[in-house]
Amino acid sequence: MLSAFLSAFRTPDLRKKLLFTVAIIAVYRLGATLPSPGVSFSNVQKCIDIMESGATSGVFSLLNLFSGGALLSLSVFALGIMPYITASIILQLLTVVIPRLEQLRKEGQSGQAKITQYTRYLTLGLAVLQSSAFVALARSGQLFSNQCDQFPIVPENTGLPMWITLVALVITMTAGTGVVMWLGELITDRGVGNGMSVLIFTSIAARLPSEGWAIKESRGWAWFIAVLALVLLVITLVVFIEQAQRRIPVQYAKRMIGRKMYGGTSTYIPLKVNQAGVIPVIFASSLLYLPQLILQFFDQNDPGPVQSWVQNNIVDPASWIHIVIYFLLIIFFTYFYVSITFNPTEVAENMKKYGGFVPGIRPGKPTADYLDFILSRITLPGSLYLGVISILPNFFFIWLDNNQFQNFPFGGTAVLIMVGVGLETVKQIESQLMQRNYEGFLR
Amino acid sequence: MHIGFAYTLIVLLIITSAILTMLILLHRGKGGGMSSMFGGGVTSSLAGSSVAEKNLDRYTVLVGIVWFACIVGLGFWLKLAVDGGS
Amino acid sequence: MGVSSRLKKSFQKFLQRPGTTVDLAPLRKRLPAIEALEEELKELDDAELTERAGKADDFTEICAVGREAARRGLDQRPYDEQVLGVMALLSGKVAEMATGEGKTLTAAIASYGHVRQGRGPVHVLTVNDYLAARDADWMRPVLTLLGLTVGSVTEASTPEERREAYGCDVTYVSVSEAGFDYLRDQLVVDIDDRVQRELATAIVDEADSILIDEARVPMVLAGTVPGEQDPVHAAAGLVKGLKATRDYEIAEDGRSVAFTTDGTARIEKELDGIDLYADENFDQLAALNVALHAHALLHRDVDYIVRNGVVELVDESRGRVAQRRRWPDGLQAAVEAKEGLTATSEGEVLQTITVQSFIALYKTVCGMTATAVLVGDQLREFFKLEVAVIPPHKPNIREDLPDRILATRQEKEDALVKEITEAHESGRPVLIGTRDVKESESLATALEAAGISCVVLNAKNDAEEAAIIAEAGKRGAVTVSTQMAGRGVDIRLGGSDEADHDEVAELGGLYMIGTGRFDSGRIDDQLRGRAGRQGDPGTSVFYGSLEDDLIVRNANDMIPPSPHMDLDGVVTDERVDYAVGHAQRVAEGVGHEIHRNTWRYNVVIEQQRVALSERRERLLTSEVAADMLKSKFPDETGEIDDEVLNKVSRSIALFHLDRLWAEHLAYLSEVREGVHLRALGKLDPLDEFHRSAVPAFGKIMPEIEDRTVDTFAEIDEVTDSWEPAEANLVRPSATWTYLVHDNPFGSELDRLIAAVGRRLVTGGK
Repeated sequence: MLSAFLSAFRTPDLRKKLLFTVAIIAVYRLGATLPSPGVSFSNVQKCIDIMESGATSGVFSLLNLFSGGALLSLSVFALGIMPYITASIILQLLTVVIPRLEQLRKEGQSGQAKITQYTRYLTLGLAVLQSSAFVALARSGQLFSNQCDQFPIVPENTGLPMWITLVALVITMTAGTGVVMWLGELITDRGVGNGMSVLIFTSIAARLPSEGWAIKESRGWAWFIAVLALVLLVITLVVFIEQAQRRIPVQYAKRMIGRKMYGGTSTYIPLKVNQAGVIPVIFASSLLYLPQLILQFFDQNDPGPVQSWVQNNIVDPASWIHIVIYFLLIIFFTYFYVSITFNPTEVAENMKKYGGFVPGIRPGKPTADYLDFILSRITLPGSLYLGVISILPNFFFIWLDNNQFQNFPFGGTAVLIMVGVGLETVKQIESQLMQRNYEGFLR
Repeated sequence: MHIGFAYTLIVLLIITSAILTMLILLHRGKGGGMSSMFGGGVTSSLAGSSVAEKNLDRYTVLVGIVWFACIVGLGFWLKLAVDGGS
Repeated sequence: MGVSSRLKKSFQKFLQRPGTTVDLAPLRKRLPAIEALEEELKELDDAELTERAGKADDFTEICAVGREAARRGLDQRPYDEQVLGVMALLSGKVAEMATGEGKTLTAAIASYGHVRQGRGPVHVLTVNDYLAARDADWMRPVLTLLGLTVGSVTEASTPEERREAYGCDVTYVSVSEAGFDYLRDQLVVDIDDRVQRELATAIVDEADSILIDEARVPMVLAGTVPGEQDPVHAAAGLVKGLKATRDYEIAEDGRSVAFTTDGTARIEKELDGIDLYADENFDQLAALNVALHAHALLHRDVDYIVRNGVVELVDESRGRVAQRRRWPDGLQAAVEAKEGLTATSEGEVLQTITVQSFIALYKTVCGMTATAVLVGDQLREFFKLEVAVIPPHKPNIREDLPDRILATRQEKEDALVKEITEAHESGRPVLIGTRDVKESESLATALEAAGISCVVLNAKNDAEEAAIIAEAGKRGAVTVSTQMAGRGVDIRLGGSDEADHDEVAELGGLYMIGTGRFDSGRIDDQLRGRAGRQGDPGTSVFYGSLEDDLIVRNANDMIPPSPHMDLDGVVTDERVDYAVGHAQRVAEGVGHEIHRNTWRYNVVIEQQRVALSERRERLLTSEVAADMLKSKFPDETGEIDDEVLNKVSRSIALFHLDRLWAEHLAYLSEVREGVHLRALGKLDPLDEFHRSAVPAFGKIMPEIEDRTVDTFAEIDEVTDSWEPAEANLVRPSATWTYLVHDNPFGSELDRLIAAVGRRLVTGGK
């Protein structure tokens, strides 16, 4: 990986792209730490400190992870890239439901461009909604689960009428979302890698130094080095498995050409061991957040026996029951997601359509069955691996016996996403490098 | 500091936010696609940026800088106001 | 224009949204100066004019001298609009000039301008050989007056003739011939065999057809491959007996076909129960697939015609016979077998280049066409060319009637016959544009049956185009043609001599009727443009039916089951109108996709080709090969005369280089075929393609050396006349793509949404 970066630096073209990307990332981080107008920076910091010593899990911490800490601090880029992703998903869903959109999609590039424009408009619409929601939450104190009431995030005593501050807040955060969207597009267009992915990567990676330092502060150097070593091990494992694929050879018999020389290895279907990516983890986390959400409705200060049991055994990330449920959910969702997104029948149909077949297996149903068989066999280790990686941080909770590390970036989702993006970006760089290196071929 | 300072900044902020949003919407978004984790993997490359796009970029950056400055300014003002008052 | 629309226009311009074009104002400013200069030039006699022509420098002088020369040489003084066109061409733009505005003359003057400004030699790239020869002869008087030499190249030209033609200042040649000459030059063994000089300037006629439509298909130079390919005939026989839907299925988009399980079983039984999918029967299977494709997807008089016992392809967008094109990979042989003709030999790809890359080799590019704005975006994207819209000399007063859509094909034909009869009775000339050869012939038959005599022009008699089209504007003429009538010879009212011009104008001018919308709005517009040239009156209308291919293929689900109709059976439903527009947009989108993919996958191939050709130049012009052999075999080479050694080592090395490149191209096309499957593993197909292409290319260089050394070691006697068994260069061919998208599965998110959508839709029922 590293060699790719170094060679990229030497090529002036790619170097420009890399530097451009880094510059945009810097701008993004700047905006992510800049508090929105009307938000008191110092108060927010105090609240975050209080938060970190509480016990919560689930979606909020996930969201905070994605926004790189920007969310809870209500910075200008607080909403981050989420509105855009949400808007894309919504529009994709709508394409299935609304015939007009489906027709647009079929019209090729020009139609797609229109859909993209709708997505962008929707993104800003969502941004307005979400920022209003967050501002309301922040005002009511719910953002920090009512634990931070003595430090209002949006102070009242500024001399400005509150409604102006709030309006400015919402508008600024919306504009901020627009800027983030634009930054992502800039990276995709003139930088290196896919804009959205790079920004998410940045958000996650931004948490690393602070969290790592926190560990060192509380536990000393020995633990810190141990954690680091473990992290590197996990990263290596993830890199290895993410690249692992089972290749199914395919032959095409649509044309009459001499195919003697190529053997079978040039055409194949790559089935990844982890075909589902990081989605099952997200699904499982979200599902597991439900009990906590329900608990909120009950009286926090006087928990009955049921609530206590649920709190201690299901919500608490250090409890064994929680870990086991989480693990099982991940395995389930992996199979579920793979079965939805990889339809062996459809693939077999497509192969048949273009005259391809797996040597030794007849096209149509036999091929579909074969693909299904291989896929299920390979998804098992994939799902196990996903489960293990995801529950690692929970073990940390147990060992460290300390609920300080909420948004632990060293396991599960964080590592998966970071490695995923890293690999993708490196691949892109490599492929661009390849295209330019022809001087070396001429003696 | 005068409250009037804050008022001008806020109004300026609201205006520049609106303009900035409009400018960004005018860009011909290449969409940036979706990252491969969420199911991307389709690369679509439109033409290189034409002269108009470059102009648009310039204006966007300009407005963006003004916008940023407003926020920073307001942040400072807030700090002074809160600390001074409370 | 109101303020708001003006604001909108300047806004659009600011954003360079599609539809914006080059500003002509600065060019217009020169017009008065040009006219003034012309007055001066009128005084000079011919010889002096030529001398003056040799000294002209800037736009004004060039245009003035060019205008004067045109006036003298052709008795035609170019209009102001044509002069604007010249200047646009000289600035490297694509000029959009309506039909009949005199593009040929504009191009001629522009070539003179390019040569004067140091950008010669100029190649004027035309659509076909006929136009190349015709235009060259037509413009010769003008260009000679301007002191330039003119030549033209056609398929029939000998190498000597070609060399001479390319040696002129201005060469008129069809794009495919120019491309193939270039490719052939890349394969010469002796540098004196080359026919082309440098590629300096290209003026592309019918720019949208050549740069966009034709760019979908790369130009391919193929040589014969020794060996028999006769499983084809047997396969054709087997396939003939199969029935659609039972034994084979055609894909929705109509681009591919596959056997069903029943069909496969039936065939296997016929062949005595073999397993088609076993390794040893692979060739048989391929032959059957190819035969099926020929049987089910390629139709006579639609996709090809049989003329003089030869199968000739019909170019889809132009409606003419596509010169020098064959289907590759055994498909041509399958079609020949299907028609009962002897199979012509197959070719293997020796060299390939896309139209894009070929045009990119020229230092300066400009062009003209009647329909450029519609593809302005693509021109910008692929060629970095801007469009300059030149207004017509006389405003266009043609009447474009709204589409008339009928419910069925038969109804449409009846309505057409009725309408044509009506128009014909008054003596008004009618030009009918049909979608393919078959339709043109069936309509002609129907017309004859109704008592109207008509002339048919289609791919089968495309050589008579000039004669037929020129008379299409005559009083009482009825011409039934395919879309080839959209481009080419001018249609003047009253026939080519314009005898009855005024009378015909009285009747309303030329009546252009289209029998169905085409796959691209541009072709529609080209046909429309035939009526109403140079301010003449005219009318155009498009008919259509709900059973038309375009609609059935692309918008079938959008047609309401019982649309609103008026008393004549003409559909007046808004939804149908939208559906038709949508169908055409989809077809255009598909074309664009194919074009983009052809281009994207060709980028790296082109880079490799350029790198290799540099190496080849070195081999060709220096003694690198000989030196290498000398170092490997000091003893043997010491005995041989230097010159002989040079020649022999050169031939061996070049032979191997060309061979390896051909093998590399074959390998790449194989990879290309299956690379879309990798999208299933979340990999980018284009990326993966590069990953295979680049290392494979890297192996070529050392391999050349190895093979050269081996061959040399095998020769017993080295004489001057040693030649490796050369593959004969035969007719070059075209490649056809059936893969529109390189990721037909869609992204993972697409699949997820589709799966969810499916459940929602079916679950709801």
